[in-house]
Amino acid sequence: MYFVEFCRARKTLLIYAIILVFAALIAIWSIHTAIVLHEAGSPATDLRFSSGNGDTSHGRIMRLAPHTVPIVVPIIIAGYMLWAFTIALSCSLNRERHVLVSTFTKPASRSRIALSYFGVDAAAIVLAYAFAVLVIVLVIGLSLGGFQVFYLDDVAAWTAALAIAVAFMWYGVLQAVSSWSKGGWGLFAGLSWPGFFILAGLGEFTLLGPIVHDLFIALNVINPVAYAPLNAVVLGGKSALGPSFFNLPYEIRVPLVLAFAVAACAIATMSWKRVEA
Amino acid sequence: MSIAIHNLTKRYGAQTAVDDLSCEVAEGSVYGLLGPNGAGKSTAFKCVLGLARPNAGSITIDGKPLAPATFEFLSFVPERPALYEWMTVRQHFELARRTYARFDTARAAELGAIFKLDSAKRVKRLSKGQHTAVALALAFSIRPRVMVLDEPASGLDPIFQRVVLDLIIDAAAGGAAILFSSHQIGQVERAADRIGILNNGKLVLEGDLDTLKGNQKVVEAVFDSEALAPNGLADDQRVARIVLSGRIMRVYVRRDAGGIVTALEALAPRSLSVFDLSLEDMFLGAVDDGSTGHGNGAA
Repeated sequence: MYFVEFCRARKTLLIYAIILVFAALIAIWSIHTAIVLHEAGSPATDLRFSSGNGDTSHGRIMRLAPHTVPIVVPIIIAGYMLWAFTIALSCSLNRERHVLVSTFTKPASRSRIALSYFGVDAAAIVLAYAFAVLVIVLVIGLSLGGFQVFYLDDVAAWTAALAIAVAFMWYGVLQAVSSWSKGGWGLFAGLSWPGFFILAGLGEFTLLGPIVHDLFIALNVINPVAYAPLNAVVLGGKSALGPSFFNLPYEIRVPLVLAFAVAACAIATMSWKRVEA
Repeated sequence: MSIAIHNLTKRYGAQTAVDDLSCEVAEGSVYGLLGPNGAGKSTAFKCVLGLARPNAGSITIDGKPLAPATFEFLSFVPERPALYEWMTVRQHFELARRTYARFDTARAAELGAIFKLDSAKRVKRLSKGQHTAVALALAFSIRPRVMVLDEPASGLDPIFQRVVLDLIIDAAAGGAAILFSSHQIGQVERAADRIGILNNGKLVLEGDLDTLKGNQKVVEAVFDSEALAPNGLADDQRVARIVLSGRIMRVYVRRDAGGIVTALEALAPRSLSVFDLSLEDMFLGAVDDGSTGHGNGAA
C-alpha cells in the first residue's frame, strides 16, 4: 500500500538532495574563493566569520565564532530548508485529484490510505532534515578547516525536535486546508510561506485595536511559524534560541506543535473520508 | 458476485443526476448502460463504487454493501484513466501487484504484450489510447469478479476495441458481473446480454437485449421530396414510431412489416428497405426528446 507514497517521497527527496548538494558546492566554492582572496589581501573581501563576539543586539544576525560553531547553527539552517521540502511534499493527498478514483477503489479504508501517506511523508521529512544537517555540517566543517570546530550545545536536541515538529505542523495544516478544497493545493502551499510569516508579524500589530490584535493572536495558534524561532543567538559562547511568537518552554512547545500536526492530519483524514471523487 | 442497484438517486444541488435507478447485474453477465452525454451513467458508476454518496437507494455487491475488501475483487476503469503521470507503466503494475492479493503477474505480462505497452515509459509519455490500455491491463490483471467499465474502449483503435470486447466477454464467461457503458453502441450490442438506457438520470428502457428487440423491424423509405407521413399511419397499432428526416422516413414496426411496406409503396418512394431493429435504433428511440428533430410523428 505504501508504493505510490514511497515513490513520490523518493522523487521529492531526490530533487531536494540534488538542489542541496548543488547549493553546498556553490557555498564551499564561494567561501574557498573568499578565503583565498582574503589571504591575498584583497580589500573587497571582509570575512564576517572572524568577528563574532556574541553581540546580539540586532537579534536577527547570527555570528559565528572563528573556530567554534555550536551545532545548533546547522540544525537551525536545516530547519528553514526543511520547510521548503515540507511544502514540496505536502498536499500529497490532494495534489492529484484525477487519481482519487483509483486511490479510493483500492482494497483499503480511506483512513488507512491517508495514514500511509502521512507515515511515509513523516519519514521523508525526518530524512530530509537529517540530510540537510549533514550537508550544512560538511559545508561549515570543510570551510573552517575541520569538524572539530563544532561543539554540542544545550539547546541542540530541542531545536532539532522543534524544527521537525514545526515542519510536521506546516505539513498537517496544508493537508487539512487543501483537503477541504477541490483544487489549488499548489496555491495553498505557495501562499503558506508569506501567509504564515505575515500572520506571525500581524500578531504583534496593535494599531487596529485590541479585537483585531486578539484575532491575529488566535489565528497564530494554527500558524507553525509562530512556534518557530527565527534566529539563534550566541551569548558568551552559549547558544540559545531567539524569540518566537509563542515563547513557550521547549518542553511544552514541542509536544504542543506535534499535537497540532496530528490534529491537522486527523482533520485532513476526516475530510478525505467525505470526499466525492 | 453480482451487482444490485435499488432506487438509486443522486442529486447535485437542484440537479438530479440519477433518478430512482434500479438494475441488477448477475454473475457471468454483461450489463450495458447507455445514455447520451450527461445522462447520469458516470454518476451512477461512482455511486456503485462509493466515490459518490447517493441521496437515496441502496447498492449491494453480492448482497452486501460496498466495503474496502470488496475492491479485492472489483475492477474499475474510469472514462479518463486515473494513472500517475510521473510513474512508469512498470511501476503501475508493481503498485497493482502490491495492492491486490489476486493480482496475476503472468496475466499482466500477457495483457501488456497484447496492448503493446512499453513498461519503461512514463505514463505522461503515453497516448490517450495507451492510457486506456494501461488502465484496462491493470483492471483485468486482478482477475476481477465484478467490473465497472466506463467507456472502456475510449481512444483505442478498432483493433484494440475488439481486444477489449473479447476481454469483456471472456471475463463474463469466467463468471464476472460486468457493468459497462460505451458510446460505441455496436460494442454494447455485441457484449451485453442486458441493457439499460438512461436519459436525464432516469432509466427509460431496460431489459434483456433479445427480448427488447423482439421481432421489431425498421422500414426505411427515401422520397424524391421531403417525406410526409401518410394520414393514419401514426395511429396504426403495428407502428411503434415514425421518424421523418428530410427525404427519409423511418417507420418502427412492432409486427407485420410487410403490411407497412405495402402501405408505403403506395407513396411511390425512390427506395424502400426493411431492417431488423438494432440497439442503435432502440437507443435513439428511447432518448429522443424531440430536440434532435427526429421524433416527429411518434405513435
